Amino acid sequence: MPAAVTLEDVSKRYRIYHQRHDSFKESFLRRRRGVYEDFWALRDVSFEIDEGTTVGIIGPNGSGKSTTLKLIAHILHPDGGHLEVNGRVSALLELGTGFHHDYTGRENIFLNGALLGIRRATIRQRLEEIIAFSELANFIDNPVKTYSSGQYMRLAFSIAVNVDPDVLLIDEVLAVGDAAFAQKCFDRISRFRTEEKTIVLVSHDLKAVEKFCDRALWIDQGHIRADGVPSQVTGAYLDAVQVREQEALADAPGLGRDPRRWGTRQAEIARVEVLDGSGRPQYVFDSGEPLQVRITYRCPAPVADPVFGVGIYRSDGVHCYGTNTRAAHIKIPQIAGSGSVVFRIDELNLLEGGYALSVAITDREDRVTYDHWDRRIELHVRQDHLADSGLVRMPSEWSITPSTPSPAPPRGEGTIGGR
Amino acid sequence: MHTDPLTAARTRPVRPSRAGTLRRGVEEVLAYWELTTNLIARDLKTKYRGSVLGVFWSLLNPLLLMLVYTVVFSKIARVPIPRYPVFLLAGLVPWNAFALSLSGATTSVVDNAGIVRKVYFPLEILPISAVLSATVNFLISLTLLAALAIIFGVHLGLSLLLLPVLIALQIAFTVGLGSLLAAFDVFFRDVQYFLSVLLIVWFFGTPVVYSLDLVPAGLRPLFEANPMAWLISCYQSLWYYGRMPDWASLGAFAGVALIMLAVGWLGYGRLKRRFAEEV
Repeated sequence: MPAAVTLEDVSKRYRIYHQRHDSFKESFLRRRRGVYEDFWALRDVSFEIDEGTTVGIIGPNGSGKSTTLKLIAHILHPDGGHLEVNGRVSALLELGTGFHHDYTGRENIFLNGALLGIRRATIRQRLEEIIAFSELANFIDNPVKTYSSGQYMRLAFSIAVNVDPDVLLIDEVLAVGDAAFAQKCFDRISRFRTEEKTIVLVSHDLKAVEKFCDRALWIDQGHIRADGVPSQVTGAYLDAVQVREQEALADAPGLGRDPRRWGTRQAEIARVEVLDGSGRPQYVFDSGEPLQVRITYRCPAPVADPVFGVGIYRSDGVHCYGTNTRAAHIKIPQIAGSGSVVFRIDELNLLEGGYALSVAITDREDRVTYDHWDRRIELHVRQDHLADSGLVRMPSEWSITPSTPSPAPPRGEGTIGGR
Repeated sequence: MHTDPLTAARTRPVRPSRAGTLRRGVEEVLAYWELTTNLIARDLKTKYRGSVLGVFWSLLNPLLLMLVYTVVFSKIARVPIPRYPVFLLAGLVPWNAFALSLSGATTSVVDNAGIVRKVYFPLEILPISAVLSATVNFLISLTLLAALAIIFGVHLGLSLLLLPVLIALQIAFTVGLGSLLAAFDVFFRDVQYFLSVLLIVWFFGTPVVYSLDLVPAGLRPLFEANPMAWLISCYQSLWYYGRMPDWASLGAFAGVALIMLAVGWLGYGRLKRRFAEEV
C-alpha cells in the first residue's frame, strides 16, 4: 500500500524565550547572549502511515503529539529531516478557530468553511444539513457570542466534518457537547474510516484509541517510544505512567517551589502512596477495585488537632470527591515526629479516565493549611467489563414489570409515539 | 476553473525549481480566493460596525479631512494652488488608501494569530486581503473625488482610463511592502509602532498638501527620489490637471512596484515558515 504520510528523521525545534523580547532593542542587545534556548519538540522521528489506516498518537502533555500533527498539516515546518504527505490534508486542531464572535452562526459557517478550504458552493449546498447536524436551527441567525460553549462547539464540529480530505488530522476534538452529540461526532468520524480516509488522531482517551485505531504511536519527549497494535501500546504507556509516578513521588519532598504545593509546613506531607486493596503500589485501577492512599507525614514540632484530607479530580478538573478526617468525625489529638495515615476506598466507583489526587493537612478549623498537594498524584481508571458511561458508577438495578396486553386503540387514532 | 484549495502545493517534490515554486505559490493563493473574499468581507463588515453612518464614513472621512486641510493650507498657510480642494483630494485619497492598506497589512499576521497557529492556508492572503479591503474603501472615496473634480470643472478625459493601472500598481507596491513589514512584525512588534510615525513623515515628505514646485530647488532631488511622490503625481495629473500622467514617473513607479512585490513575496515566503510558532 502506498504511504499517505512519510516522516524521515523529522526534527522540530522551538525557541524558548526566557524573556519575551518583542522589541528591536532587546533582541539586538541580548540575542547573541542567548535569550532563548532551543527545545527539540521532535528529534529524528521517522514513520510511515499507509493510506486508509487510522493511527492514534498518545503520550503525555508536551511530548510532541500536537507538533507532529501540525507538521503533517504544514502549519509548522521541520528543522531537519524530510516530510511528505500525499493527497489533500485537513486538520481539525481546534474547533471554532477563526469564528467571528459578532457574526451569526450562519455567517460563521461560510467564514469557517472557507478557512477549512471547503468550497462556498459545497457549503451552500450542504447548509441545511450542517444546521440540522448542529441542532441549532433556532439560533443559527444569532451572533455566536450569544452561544453557550456547547452550542459553539457543536456548530464548529458540524462545519468541520464537511471537509473532504484524503488525510484527516484530529486533535482531541472527539468529545464534543453532551453524550448524544458526542456519539454523532463519533459516528461521523467512523464514516471517514469506512470511506478509506487516512486518519491521524491525537488523544488522551486511550479507550478511544483502542476502539478506533488500527495502530497506535506513543511519543515521549520527542521520540517514538512504541508503535504497533493499539492495546499493546496503550498498555505499555500505562505501565510507564505508573513507573514515572513512583519515581516522581520518590523525589517529591525535594521539589522546591512547586505551584501545586503550598502550606506552612508545620506538618509536612513527606510521601503519598497509592496502593491496591492489599497495600501494593498501583496507579491503574479497574473500576470498582479497592484503593488505598497512604500519607506519610513529618512534623518538626508537635501539631495539635490536624485534619487530613483527600480529593479526587478528573483530568479535566472536575472535582469528583473530597473528604477529610473532620468530615468523618475522627479526632486526631496530636501528631509529632513522623507517621502515616491510610485512607481506604472499598470500591472505586469512578468510570474510565485519568484522575488526580489532592492530599492536604490543615488545622481543625481549616484556617491554616500545613501542607497541600494539589493534584500531584495521577492515577488511571479502566473499565474492561462495564459498559456504563459517565463519571461514576452508581450501584443501581432495573426492574421490569411484565407487560400486559393493552386494549386495542380507538379506531382512527392508531398513531404511536408522537413526539 | 478553481483548483481545489486543499490539493494545491501540499505535496513536496524532491527538488522544486524556483519557477515551479512561484507558480505553485500563486496557484495556491488563487485557490484560496474564497477565503480572501471572506476576510475582506469580514474586515469591511467589522470596520464600521456599531456606527450609524456605516460605510458613508469612507466618504465622510476624506471630506472632513479635505475641509480641515483646505482651511489650514489654503486659507491660513496660503499655499498658492488654485482649486485647492481638488488638488488636495487627488493626492489625499490615494495616500490615505496607501497608509491604511500598509498599516492593515503590517498587523495582518499578528492580528490573525489565532488562525495562523491552528489552521493551514496560504499565509500570503493575510496581507493581500488587508490591502484589498482598504482598496474597497479607496474605490468608494474615489467617487467623492470624481464628484469634486466635476464640480470644479476639471477636464476629465481619456487619461482616466489609466486609473485602473495606477490602482493595480499601487496594490502591487503596498502588498509587497506590507508583506515584508507583516513578516517583520511577527518577530518585532516595534515595526507597527515605527510605521505609524514613518507614515506621518512620509506623508509630509510627499507632495500631497503642497505641490513639488513649491519645494525649494535645493531640496527637490530628495523629494523626487520618493516613489510615492511619483505615484501621487500621476493621480494629480488625472484628477486635477486632467491630463496624461508623466510617463517617466509612471514607468519608474511600475518598476519599483514590481520589484517591491517580488522582494515582499520572497521575504515573506522565507519568514512565514516560523509564523505559527513565533506569532
